[in-house]
Amino acid sequence: MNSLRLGRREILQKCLALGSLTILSAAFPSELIAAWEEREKLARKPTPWNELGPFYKKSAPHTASLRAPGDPGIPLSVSGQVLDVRGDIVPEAKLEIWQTDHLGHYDLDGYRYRATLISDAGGKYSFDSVMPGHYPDRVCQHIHYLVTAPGHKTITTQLYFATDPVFEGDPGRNFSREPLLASAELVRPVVLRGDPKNVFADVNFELVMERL
Amino acid sequence: MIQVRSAVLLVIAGASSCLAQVRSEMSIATPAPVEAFVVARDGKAAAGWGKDGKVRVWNLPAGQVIRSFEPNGEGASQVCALSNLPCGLLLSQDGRWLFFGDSKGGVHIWDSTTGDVRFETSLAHYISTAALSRDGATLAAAPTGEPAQVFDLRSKRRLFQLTSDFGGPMAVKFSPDGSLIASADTDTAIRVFDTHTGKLRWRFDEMTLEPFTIDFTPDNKFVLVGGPNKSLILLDASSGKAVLSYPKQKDVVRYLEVSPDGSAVAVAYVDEKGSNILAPVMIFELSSGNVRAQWTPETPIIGGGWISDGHLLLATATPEALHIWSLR
Repeated sequence: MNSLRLGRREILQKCLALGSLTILSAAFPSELIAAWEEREKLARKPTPWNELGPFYKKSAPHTASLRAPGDPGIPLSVSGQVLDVRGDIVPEAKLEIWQTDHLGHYDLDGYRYRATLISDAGGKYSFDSVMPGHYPDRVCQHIHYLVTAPGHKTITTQLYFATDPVFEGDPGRNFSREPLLASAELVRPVVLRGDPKNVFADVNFELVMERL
Repeated sequence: MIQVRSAVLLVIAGASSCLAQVRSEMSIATPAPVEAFVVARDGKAAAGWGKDGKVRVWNLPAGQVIRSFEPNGEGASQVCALSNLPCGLLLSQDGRWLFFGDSKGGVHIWDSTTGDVRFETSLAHYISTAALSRDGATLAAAPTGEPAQVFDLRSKRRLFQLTSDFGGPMAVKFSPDGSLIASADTDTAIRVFDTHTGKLRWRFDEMTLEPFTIDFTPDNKFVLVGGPNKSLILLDASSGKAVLSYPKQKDVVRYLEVSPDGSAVAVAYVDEKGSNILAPVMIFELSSGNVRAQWTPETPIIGGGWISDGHLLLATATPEALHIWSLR
């Protein structure tokens, strides 16, 4: 038996023709279908889950400056946007982040390299830190994220870095060297700028939440 | 092959100025390095997970292998027994039921006396923690990142799932009388549930860091918790109110177990800079928090537990043998 494979456009056109879909609008169906398709292009996959721990600590300070003056390590700027799976902006999402210092040590007694951020009206967030070191009980450098927003499923995930020596320059091939990674999606490109004596790293990490 | 040693090592525990008596009880030759070890409360059986993927059960003190299981080639999950290493093993107090949680979410329970499979299921992620009720009739097991699921092992039915604000537990434990389940959760709360209904009895929210480990006292009256806060907190099991906070130590509390008579607690520590740095096992008086004993072996402790005569058995491993020690 031949199978009939229809695209979204064909399905919508057939539904309209058969009267099983009624559009209460003065717009032409073709325009609405185009708008639908445009909307579909914005759709995103939810950010993959990754373990919460270790060493989550609640009530981290509200600050975007995790790097204190004189802190050793490569200065790191992380920025991104919080969206939902339809591509809509999620403002006022609460992002709790924590990481090790440049030597791979977590601060358990205080709140160094821990922060609470709130996404702005455009869903954007950013913070300055240092490139985390390698915590001995883990394979890769990483930053922990816990993201909550009313009406959305909580995200627990981790950000990894394409420059991590563990990936040997090819995270697409070598991501599984980190046992906690199921795909390379959480490994983000790193833009290095400055001169060899003053290297700065920039990373963009978009977060996509599922609606409840 | 078994070598029973009688040497008694006297170890001066410098930091705490206490005298710990560490006794080498036996060494058991193993075909592959043992990576995790659990012991039954009666001290007559022990189990270990080997690097060859096999779980072996030994009778003690003879040290003979009485059963060997080969789960499915998967690695061990994070359930621990007086160790700061992943082990995935549990042994019921009478030694009959052997639990293994694997790194893919597989749950296996065997009858260690017959080798029969008693219960198997598969959860979404690797098993972060699990507990068996004292009568061996109920299992709580949590896939990492999700609250624990509770199973009736007689009917092989899932009864209910515990709850949390986000994430799952680092540790779960049944009260000795089986009426309560305590859950030490990554959202930093301690929760205690009714085992029969699954309803939340109380939650304790005064910890800022995620707790790692939890246990009840034998009289069911108190719950003891610990974690990266490097301290132990004693909670009233009926109300959830903090009763006592023990002095902070240098290292992170990875696992704790209250002694059978309720007079002491054994704590396995992990260095906050990573488990590659050796950290001690300590025994504290439960009523005062005073240090009774402390021991840092030359190789990592791979597991152990209290046995009913009041000894704490601990295990270390070399590539060719399992070494069992007692600490008092």
